[in-house]
Amino acid sequence: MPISFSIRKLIGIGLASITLGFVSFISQEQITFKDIFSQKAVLSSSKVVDFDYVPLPQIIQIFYSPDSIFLDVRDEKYYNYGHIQNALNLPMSELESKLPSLLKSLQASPNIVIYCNGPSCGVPIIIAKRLVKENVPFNHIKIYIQGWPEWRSCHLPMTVSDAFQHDLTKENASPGI
Amino acid sequence: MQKNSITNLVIICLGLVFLLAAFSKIGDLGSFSNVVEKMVYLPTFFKGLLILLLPGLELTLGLCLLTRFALNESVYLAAGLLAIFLLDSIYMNATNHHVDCGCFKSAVPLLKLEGWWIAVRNLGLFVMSMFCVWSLRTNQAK
Repeated sequence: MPISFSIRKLIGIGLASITLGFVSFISQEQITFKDIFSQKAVLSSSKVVDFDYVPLPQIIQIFYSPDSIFLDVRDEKYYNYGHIQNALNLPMSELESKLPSLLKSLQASPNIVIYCNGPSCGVPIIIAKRLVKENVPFNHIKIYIQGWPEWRSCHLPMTVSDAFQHDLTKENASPGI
Repeated sequence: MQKNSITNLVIICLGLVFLLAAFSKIGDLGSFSNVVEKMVYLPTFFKGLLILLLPGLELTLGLCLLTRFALNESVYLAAGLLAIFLLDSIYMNATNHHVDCGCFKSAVPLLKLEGWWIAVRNLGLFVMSMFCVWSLRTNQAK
């Protein structure tokens, strides 16, 4: 025997859901009505846990895939000392000046890996949020949380300075921050 | 009598789960929107609707289940919603998009799971809801 439904009650549940949904939405300040129908909703989040944190094996795959872009967000002097091969430097201090020239290629890239100097560095999240604000697809951004220290210790493809090589030969490489 | 007691208990549990899920989403709609953003198979417009309406629907269903208002309708809607969550979690895991539904957050560590455990949790909740559907149907048949 089929269970009996009341259309009126179903409509009531629907209306209550819509009302409560709107009330809860307008009572918060994280995202606006306009934002939720665009990718910009992500910007307003106070949490940082929802970006893709990608481990090394996957990062290596991305590294060898075409059209991927690696963003090194450390300061220029550390970038010049040594960085992941072909990575672009986009430090916080130069974000406003460098971003416009990179934007087109970032918006077109299917994989953007942002890295810094390991888990203690929060800059990749700030940069990632900024990229989303500039209409870089959210799903294309990956955070390589272990960053430069792990990459360097695994002897993966790097571009390094003379100073780095000098330090390496002396087996006295600096922390590489 | 014993079956009715179990059914009531399961309905209360489902109601609490829905309330918890609703409040965790309402409390941090930004994070929930991040999770929805990763549902690659949904068009942007539907993602927006989901962000806007799902917390309200969960809140309503939670309240209805706990107060037993429109119980038949609520149980069926809850079962339908949980079936969708289950399919979503299976699809997301199968396609390597390990995404939590954004429910519970850290409110209940046991319910905050990763990977295939999310699908297992959703399966458990779906089975609970189907038990309620079956129980209500057999009660009505009598």
